[in-house]
Amino acid sequence: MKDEMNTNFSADADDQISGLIAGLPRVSAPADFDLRLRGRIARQRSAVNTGFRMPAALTYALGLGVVLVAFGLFGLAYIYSGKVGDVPEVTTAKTAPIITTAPPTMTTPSLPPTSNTVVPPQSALTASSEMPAARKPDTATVQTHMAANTVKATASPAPTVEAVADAALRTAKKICPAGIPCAEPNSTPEMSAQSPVDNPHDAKEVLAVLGVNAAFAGGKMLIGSVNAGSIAENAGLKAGDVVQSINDQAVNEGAKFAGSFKASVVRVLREGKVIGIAIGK
Amino acid sequence: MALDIMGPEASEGLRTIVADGKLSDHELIEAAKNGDEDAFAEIVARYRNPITNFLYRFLNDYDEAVDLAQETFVRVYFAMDRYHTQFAFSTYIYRIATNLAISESRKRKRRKLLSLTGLFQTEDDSQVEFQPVDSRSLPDADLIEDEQSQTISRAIAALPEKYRVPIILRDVEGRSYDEIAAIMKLGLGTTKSRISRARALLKEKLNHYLK
Repeated sequence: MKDEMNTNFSADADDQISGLIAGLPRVSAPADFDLRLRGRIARQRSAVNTGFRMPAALTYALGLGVVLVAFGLFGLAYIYSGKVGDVPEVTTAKTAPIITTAPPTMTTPSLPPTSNTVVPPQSALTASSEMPAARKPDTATVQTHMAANTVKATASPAPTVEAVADAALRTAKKICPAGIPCAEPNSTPEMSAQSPVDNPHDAKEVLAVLGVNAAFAGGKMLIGSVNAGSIAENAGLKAGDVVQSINDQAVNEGAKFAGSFKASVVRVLREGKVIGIAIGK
Repeated sequence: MALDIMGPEASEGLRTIVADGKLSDHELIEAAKNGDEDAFAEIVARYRNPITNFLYRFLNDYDEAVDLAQETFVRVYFAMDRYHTQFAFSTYIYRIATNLAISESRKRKRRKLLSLTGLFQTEDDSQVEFQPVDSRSLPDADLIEDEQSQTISRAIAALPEKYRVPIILRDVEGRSYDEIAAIMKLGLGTTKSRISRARALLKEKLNHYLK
């Protein structure tokens, strides 16, 4: 009974809502409706007959294509600008301070350029200008990255110079920037019989840095493979190429390359022709 | 289809037939396809007011309603060759008008999203586009509505599209459930359900007008 009453009420309310909506005044089209419609149809008809309308999808596709090409060109320009794929330097600077003993030329560790190195008192390193020329080989050279303050100090026989230099280094105060390792001034530098220049690389190592796996075969440096995505591959070196020179220095089994250098041109023999390949250009 | 249907050079024979006023919509469309300008003019005369009224109730904006009503007839005119008589013409033209109205309504919503006014509207007003007061004289005396009519109009315009279309077609335009289902491409049950839901929503908003 209650449900029936609710249903009746609901139906009654629906009728009332319908009545309210149906009672809304009706609007009519304006008097010039037909005239304006004629004009509109005439305009569209002439547009259809005379005008070429590019489909919307084609318009969007063209726009998208232009954007993609622009991005592609930008990417290529970025890649070939040298920001990506720069040739890393081949260097032996893994070890730091090396002081040679025979001849007694001493080189202090390479200190960061911004480090504030307090150079030992000049008095400790006596003026070299008074030094006879014949004694110059015995001169100990103390180098720091404060280039202006490079001081050639002399003097006396090697052990004395070493002692003076050691003393100077021990008393030196260093302030290094955060994150940049500093050589410990008070520690005794590693001694080695070789300087960086005396520790060159052979051609195989140089090529390995570029991403080339090569080996001598029959006296020729033959490229076995080129690492995918490597500098060498980007430059155009290929497996099967015979490397003839690097930076105009001939490649043979005895060839050694300076400890710190940058390969820029590699000449290879490919299909009977010598081709110069620029690296990292 | 002749492109000069609305032009001055009409076919005298067909004009006479149209003048009888007894041709069905399908016959008028066929005549219009064959180049009779008066046949199309008769179609326009039959539907311009219902379509304008339908669109006005949907958008609650007279100028926009007239503009979309004209666009509806333009589309009918240029698509006449593709028109098939499997549907009633009224179904066909109301479907076009409905699609245009929904499209316009969505454009307004997008515009509203970009408008700062949207930040200050309440949830209840969210379906209604802000319309500045039109100080011009009304184009038709029928547009003069009392406060109750305006409240009802706003309540209808605030309904979600899926409820607004069927309730207007049913209670304003007096279309049958079957025809509304065909216009909206819905099942009969869904159509009835939506109309019922629309009435329930209106009941909540217009409660004080119910006895």
